[in-house]
Amino acid sequence: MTQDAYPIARRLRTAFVVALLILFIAVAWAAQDFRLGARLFPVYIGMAGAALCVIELLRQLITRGRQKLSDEPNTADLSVEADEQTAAGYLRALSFFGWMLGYYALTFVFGFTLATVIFVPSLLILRFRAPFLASAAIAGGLVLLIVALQYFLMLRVPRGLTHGMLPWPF
Amino acid sequence: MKPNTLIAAGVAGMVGFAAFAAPAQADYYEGQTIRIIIPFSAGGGTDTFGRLIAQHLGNHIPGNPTVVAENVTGAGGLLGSNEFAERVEKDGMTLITASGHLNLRAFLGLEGLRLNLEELTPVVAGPMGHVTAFNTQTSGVSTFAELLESDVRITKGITDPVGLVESIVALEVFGVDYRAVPGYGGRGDTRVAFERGELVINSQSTPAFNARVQPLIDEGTAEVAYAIGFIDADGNPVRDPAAPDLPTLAEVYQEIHGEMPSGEAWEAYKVVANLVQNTRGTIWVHSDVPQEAHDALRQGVDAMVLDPEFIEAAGNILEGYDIISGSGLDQIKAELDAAPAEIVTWVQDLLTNNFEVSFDR
Amino acid sequence: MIDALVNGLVILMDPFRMLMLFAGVAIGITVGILPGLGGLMGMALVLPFLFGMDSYAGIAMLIGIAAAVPSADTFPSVLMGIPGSSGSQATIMDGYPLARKGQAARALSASFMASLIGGLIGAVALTALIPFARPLVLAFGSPELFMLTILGLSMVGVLSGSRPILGIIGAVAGLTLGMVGGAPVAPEYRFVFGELYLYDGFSLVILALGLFAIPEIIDLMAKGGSIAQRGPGLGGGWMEGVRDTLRNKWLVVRHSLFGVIIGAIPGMGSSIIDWLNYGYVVQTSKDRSQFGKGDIRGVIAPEAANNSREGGVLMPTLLFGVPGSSAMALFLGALLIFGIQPGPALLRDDLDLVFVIIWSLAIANVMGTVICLALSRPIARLTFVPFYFIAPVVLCIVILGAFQETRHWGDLVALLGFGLVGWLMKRIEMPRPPLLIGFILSGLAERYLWMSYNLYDWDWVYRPLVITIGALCIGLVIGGIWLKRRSAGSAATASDNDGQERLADNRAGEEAQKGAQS
Repeated sequence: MTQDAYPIARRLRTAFVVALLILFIAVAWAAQDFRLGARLFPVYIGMAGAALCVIELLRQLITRGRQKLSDEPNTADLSVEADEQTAAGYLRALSFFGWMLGYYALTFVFGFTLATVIFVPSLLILRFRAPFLASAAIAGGLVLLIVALQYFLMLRVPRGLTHGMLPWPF
Repeated sequence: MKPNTLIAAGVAGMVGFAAFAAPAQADYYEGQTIRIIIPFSAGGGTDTFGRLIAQHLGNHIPGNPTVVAENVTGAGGLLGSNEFAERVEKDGMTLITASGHLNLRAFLGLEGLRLNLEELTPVVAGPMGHVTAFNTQTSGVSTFAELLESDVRITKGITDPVGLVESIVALEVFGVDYRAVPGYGGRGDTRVAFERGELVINSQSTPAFNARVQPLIDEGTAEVAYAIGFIDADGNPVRDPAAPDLPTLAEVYQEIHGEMPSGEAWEAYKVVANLVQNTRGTIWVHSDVPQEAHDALRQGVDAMVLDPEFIEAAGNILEGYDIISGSGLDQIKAELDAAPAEIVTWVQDLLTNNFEVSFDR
Repeated sequence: MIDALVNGLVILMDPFRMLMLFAGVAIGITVGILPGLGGLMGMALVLPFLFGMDSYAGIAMLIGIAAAVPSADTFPSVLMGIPGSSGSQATIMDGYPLARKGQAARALSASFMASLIGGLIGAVALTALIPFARPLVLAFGSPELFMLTILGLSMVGVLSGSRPILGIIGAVAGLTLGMVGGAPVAPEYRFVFGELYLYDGFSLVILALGLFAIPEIIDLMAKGGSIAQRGPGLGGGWMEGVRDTLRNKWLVVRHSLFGVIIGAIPGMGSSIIDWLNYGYVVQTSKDRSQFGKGDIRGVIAPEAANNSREGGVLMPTLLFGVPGSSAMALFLGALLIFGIQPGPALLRDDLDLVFVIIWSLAIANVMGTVICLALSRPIARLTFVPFYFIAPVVLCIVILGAFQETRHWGDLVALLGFGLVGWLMKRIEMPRPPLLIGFILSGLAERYLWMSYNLYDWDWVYRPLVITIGALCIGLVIGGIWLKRRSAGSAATASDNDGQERLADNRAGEEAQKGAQS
């Protein structure tokens, strides 16, 4: 397997390490103003992290285009399949982050319970072309679950702007 | 370990048959729900105190309101305290359970805390004393007087410096030269470190002392330095009711130096020790709620403390102390109001110089 | 001691107390299955009902919760790659790949069997060790605890697999993330930007849910299909899992004892235990090529340990009155309600109560396992259902679980943010466990280093136990490099494995490979 099998992942990896490098430098920098007891740890950890990032970037630069041991499949975390590493695979996954953001927006306006009632069938029908009845049944079941969890486990759900304006159980 | 923030609400004190036994004129709390904010996570001493009160108070307030205890945790108690201070209606429907050290933080004006004790009235309180002991094995001395003379490194574990202030001020009264070791998670952690010999001097609540430090004394590895003790209405030190055999700080000082302690440290000690120890658990209400609310709450507390059911349940939780109600509360309030500004400044300076704590005022 | 042992059982055999024990187990299983909720939540839930309850019944109920959660939290970990509570993060690493191969039932039953044995060993160890627990607990001062955090951090090497530098960077990023909020040894709030939400730092539960749950939900929705990519394999049922565990019985015993010992050391927190055990089993296995891809030993080891640790964390709780975990802090509060003062005197004066606790622990483990085993078969079928039916349900529950941490919108923002980071890390193949380990150990490492210095200046490095643990860390790192070199060749060729492969086959393959190389 050559390194350029996953060009997007490779570029993102470089970008991520650069972002972490900036973060580590910022941490070490911002910690300068802290009291002694709170300062040393972030300063040294930040500097160590920045140094490691530089080493990793150098490694990536040196091994560019070469097959290296460290570009073999990762055994320390769940593996990713090849078709997910394409541009289309990335966009597909990102679109679901968009859906999740939509769920949050609905929650912010309508509160969590009503947001679930709107979000779940929308996702199932619009995105997955699921049968209407099954989608409605899942949404209904979820509302029952949310209500039951609030009652029996005393969970609280996020409230929306419309809190207090809607009838029970919303 | 970071305090795991979690909120659990418990409904306590059921409404009963209020609907059938409606009195002639409507009570202020008739059909209402009182919410008690507990700005700490569930399971601690202050939380347990708050829940005990929440369980029983509703049965005794005229109109039998439902009383709900709710943990609003976060930011070391700031989140719940600030919500109570700034974001609730001042109608007597919301109360707060504070610990002695939260009260002290408010009293000193800790940075970020919006709770102002001058605007609050205590509803009910529970006291708790503290005892200081030292490790005889690590220090190699057998009496506190010898410890003061010796040149061993007197290590003292620090959790949150404001949370240990009565023991810190007590060390100041004796002029102990100690090495502060910050970073302990709580008094329990400092106790284990003390038992291990890591820490030479350690202060525990009296019940914890009786259960877990006394065995070390019996074993010969530790010795009592002094009990913090209480200060009576006339300003004189009195012994801790849960440890009546232990000499108070003032007695030990007299024995060593032949005179009563005096000076700024002693004056500060008298204020701080009483505030922290008398209000180990305190329920507060805003002072500017309607007078009917004040009356109803006080009537409820006065009836509650006489209820045998409450007394039985409170026995375990108050751990050998009597609950404070009525005139005792007035005295707490009066002591707070009477505390001289220079003492507040002195304690603030002590905490700022030794522990870099910041204050808002 | 023997009569107290019998007395404890007799006291517990009261129908009401048994009912409460069972209720505790039921609550524990419920909160364990729901991602984001754990023993702490379950105990907080029943706390208001303890006032006025019979003390033995109340204690049995709390122990029932504590014992059942680490069994039940395996369900989301194995089935969906979602940490069920903070104690079952490491189970994901191998349990979830097994579920994807259609062997969810096998992974679950192996895990429950390991949990059962681990839980019982924990109860026996608590009985046997409690007279000797004091020296153990007292042996670990601040310097030794600091070295233990270093030991945990040196596991990062072995948990980074073929990407050591990225793994270490991840761990350092975790250490940095752990600095947010109040500093442990100075009155300073770091990197909070004036947000009260950040004052307590980020929550481990939300970080774990974000890093693992959100990316999995997103990717499964994007890919379509069901969780299990293949149909149930021949003999991939639940009996096979039980056999797996029994075949690895010494592994179970070893990790159970390890779990008890680490649990008994107060001040480390219990959430690191499963990672330490996972790192330990990977480190000590000859053939490491299947870890992370569905090695059953990667399920058995952490699951045995996370049940046995409850026996361990009870030691400091009962002996010293210091909580061994955050749920135990709540348990201590409950003991206060019943007027029980933990401490050495408890062992002298109220040994019956101690044995009620031990019996509750043992019986609750059996109850929990039986219920979980009974549930495992139908629940495992969920892995064959098209995922888009499950995804919205799981997403809803994960958000709800995350929101219970502080009930603040910040919880939801953090969940989404960590979800994006976790997804990115998964895509760029940067190992996520080191980040979690760094986060857990961040505050502890800083705290214990400062405390050691303040107590002993630099003399603490010469303490015998410090040197011992230090040598262990060095051995771990060097051993890790050596083993990696040795197995590098076999890992490269064993690229595609078909899920039905037995470990024995792999091992034989590796030997053959080595023979061929030399």
